[in-house]
Amino acid sequence: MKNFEYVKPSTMEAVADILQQYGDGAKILNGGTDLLVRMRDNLIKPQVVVDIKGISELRKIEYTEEGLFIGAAVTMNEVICSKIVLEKYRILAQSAHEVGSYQLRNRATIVGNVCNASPSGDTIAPLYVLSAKVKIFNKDGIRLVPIENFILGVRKIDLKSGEIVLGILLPPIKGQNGGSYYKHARRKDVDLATVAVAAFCNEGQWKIAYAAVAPTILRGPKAEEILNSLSEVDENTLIPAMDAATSEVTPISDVRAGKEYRLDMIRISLKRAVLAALELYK
Amino acid sequence: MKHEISFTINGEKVHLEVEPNKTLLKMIREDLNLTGAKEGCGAGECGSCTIIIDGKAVNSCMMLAVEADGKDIMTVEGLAKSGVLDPLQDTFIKNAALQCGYCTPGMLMSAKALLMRNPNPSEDDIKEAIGGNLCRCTGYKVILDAIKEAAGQIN
Repeated sequence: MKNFEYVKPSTMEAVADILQQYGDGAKILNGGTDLLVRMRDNLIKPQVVVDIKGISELRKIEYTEEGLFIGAAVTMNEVICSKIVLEKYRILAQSAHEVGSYQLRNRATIVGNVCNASPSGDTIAPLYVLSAKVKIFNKDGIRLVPIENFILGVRKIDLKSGEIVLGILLPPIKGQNGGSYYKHARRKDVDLATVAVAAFCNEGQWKIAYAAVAPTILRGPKAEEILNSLSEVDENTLIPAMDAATSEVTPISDVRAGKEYRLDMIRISLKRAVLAALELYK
Repeated sequence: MKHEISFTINGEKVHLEVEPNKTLLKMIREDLNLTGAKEGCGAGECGSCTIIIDGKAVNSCMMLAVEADGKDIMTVEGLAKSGVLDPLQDTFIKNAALQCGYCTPGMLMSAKALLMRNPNPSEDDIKEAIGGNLCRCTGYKVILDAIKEAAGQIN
């Protein structure tokens, strides 16, 4: 690992100043589980590493009338064990539990997973179906961006110079709902998704998101439309939605799987995610 | 520029100067000569570098040494007290839960962190806790047995 300057500011303003001063030469250190691996392999060589874990407001997880705010430095295990998440946004806890290993989840964060913007990031697809917003700080104020607009491509996010993510905002959910994340991977722990599907139903309206089948997480409007039109969703009636899933993704072949296999598995994953979401629908 | 840091490791207070680009694992092994924690993959996939920080199991290869400032660290060297082995160390030996031994310090620390937060874990809890610790020798069965025995579930 090439040497760098390490700083640990205690205010957001100080972080913004450093980011503005160094531009691409500055990298945010949060849980470090993606950053340090990339630095170790010399894929990135920052001049300055900005540790944000000293900023107390980033450690907050709180529910208000705006919804649930999860601060940038809240770890995966903190989210998994959060009563409010388990009660109201269970699908997020479920997907966080799919990330890496227990000890990795003691460091890794949801916001880190989002900002890394990997096509297979486990917590991102659930955030799409929960209509999450990314809360961004800059010295002129705060802006809220829907997650679908925040993630632009592989490792590309909508952050301008001097901006930093404060956290994720999950809007309140009213009425009957249930959601589930199905990850298809080669092994249970420490693996990336070959494909994955997040399915969420609120008052009969479905939201579907696919992972690891395009440069970003994708919503599934065709599958959603079919599911919404069904008077009863079961393993027979949802077959057209499975076919729709295949038609609205664009997977590639890589070390984890071939394109054809991914297309087959996205069908099955959609079915399993939807049926599991129905089991939890209440 | 070097940073001055202070922390506790295995009950002992330490004050050190470290370069920012040194991982916590490297500092523990090379500056403190505590070579129990190992580097396997260096990328958070194998768990052989697992140590306990402020009561939580973490991969020390994916943490900077400077981040240890103010922390309370426990490594495998801190398990035995005054020459008396930790119950986990005893049951690992009794069940022959190790062969080459490379994964063992990490495996013990993941298991220790589990028993610290949950003294009576289910088999699923144990599998979750050591899911990030690869062992290429034992096939895991004897490791599960050893952890269950340390938790007082089998004799």
